[in-house]
Amino acid sequence: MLKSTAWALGGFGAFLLCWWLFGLSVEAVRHIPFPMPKDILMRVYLLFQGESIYDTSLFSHFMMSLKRWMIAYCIATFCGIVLGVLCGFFEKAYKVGLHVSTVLQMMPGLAWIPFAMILFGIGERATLFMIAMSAFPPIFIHTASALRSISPQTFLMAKMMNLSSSRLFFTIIMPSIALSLLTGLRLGLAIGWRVLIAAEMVVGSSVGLGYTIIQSRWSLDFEVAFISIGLICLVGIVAEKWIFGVLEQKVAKRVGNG
Amino acid sequence: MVELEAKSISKAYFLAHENRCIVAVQKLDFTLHVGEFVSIVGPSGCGKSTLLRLFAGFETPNSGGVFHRGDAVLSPHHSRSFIPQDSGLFAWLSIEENVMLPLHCSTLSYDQKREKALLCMEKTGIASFAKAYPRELSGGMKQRAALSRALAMESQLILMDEPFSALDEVSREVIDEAMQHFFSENRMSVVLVTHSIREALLLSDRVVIMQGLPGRISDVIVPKTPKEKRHKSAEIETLYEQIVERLKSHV
Repeated sequence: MLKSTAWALGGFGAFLLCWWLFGLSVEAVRHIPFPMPKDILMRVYLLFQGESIYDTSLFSHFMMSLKRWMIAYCIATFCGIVLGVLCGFFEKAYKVGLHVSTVLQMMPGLAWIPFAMILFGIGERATLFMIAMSAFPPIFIHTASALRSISPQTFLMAKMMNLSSSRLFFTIIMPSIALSLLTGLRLGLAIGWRVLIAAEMVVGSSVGLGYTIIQSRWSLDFEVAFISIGLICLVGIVAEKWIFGVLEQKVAKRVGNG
Repeated sequence: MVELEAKSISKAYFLAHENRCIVAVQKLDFTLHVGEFVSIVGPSGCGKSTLLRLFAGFETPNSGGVFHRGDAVLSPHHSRSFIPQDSGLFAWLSIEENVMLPLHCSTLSYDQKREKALLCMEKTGIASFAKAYPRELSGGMKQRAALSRALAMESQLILMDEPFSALDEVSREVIDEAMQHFFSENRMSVVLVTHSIREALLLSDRVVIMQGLPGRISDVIVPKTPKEKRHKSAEIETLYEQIVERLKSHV
């Protein structure tokens, strides 16, 4: 534990050093100010003191992004699991669904902009649509494929033991697909987060981390953009390592793959 | 009384990549009496496992029929316990939870179910591993757990597909002995598919020899020596040689 903390701190130190050196080089070549670590720290302090960014606090921008992300992710998760389970049980539906979702998966998040604008206009719902559409395919594919890969013998054994449908689903099917489902949820969450920032830049309202980044083009307030980018990375790390990483380890141990 | 009867059953599979059919079992007749222990031996791919799956209702025959105590076998049922090669335990459930699984359809309370599961585990000598997970147990222990589950299901017919193939000879002998006592005590009818001719001869009332493609019964051997005296019996050695010779001619 101590060793890994030391490595993490060492890595962070190296990152700060690279940042500082890179900033110095940019300033020397381009003759424009580059936000340095100490400037960012100072700005973070001011933001915590109550300074607003584009008439809204950093906390509100952050919370708004999180809220959008979570709403759209919940929609994608619900649709992905329900349709995934349906397609997992019916072969023909699976074949059709897999093709459709593969096409959807190929679409870059921002390619949903025209669809979002036609269906919902510019605003909140368009952002949610883009995130949900991008997060949906991995959740759907992993759920359906995991179900299809359960050995037919498992179902026959369950029938032999006279298990009820609910017990079959919760005691046998769910643990069988748990790891694959978690991978789908993890991918969906990461893709959704990336698309959220892009969608906020393009079709979002005037609040959100993506909005603060895109606004720096006009305000030239790059410190705020850097702080927003840092927050985005932080959320990604928390979701990836501390939520899904831990969850995956526990599930793998429970289902016998750990 | 007849426990299980197969009347002229055939089973063929279509191999899509080779665009042809293989007949795994052809017009096969088989009878198992209540309390009888029958082993099926034969070369790899001769249809032994398919036959066992047909008996269990895990497969349906293309023609003919399988009857368990007079009822047609159309799908798996808790009156027939099929134990696959990998024991069929669920990795994420403890041994106790695995054994309790078939009890959930009963009207027993949770404590009664646990008590019954424990009793079944005691009978197979696995009670001290109740809280362990299948991955923590040896192959033989897993098979004992699968047997406990069969006991909890109150199945009178046990169908085992090469249960101890992964075990060394000594462990196998110890478990075979325990199994023999267990089955005769509980008056269970057993069909065992095995590659070990010696195991078949030591445990069985009858040894059925199958030959492959199409799979059919080529011979039935009935050892006359009582089971408890078979270990060093000259008859068993002679029968062993006979079966080996017959199987060699089929390979």
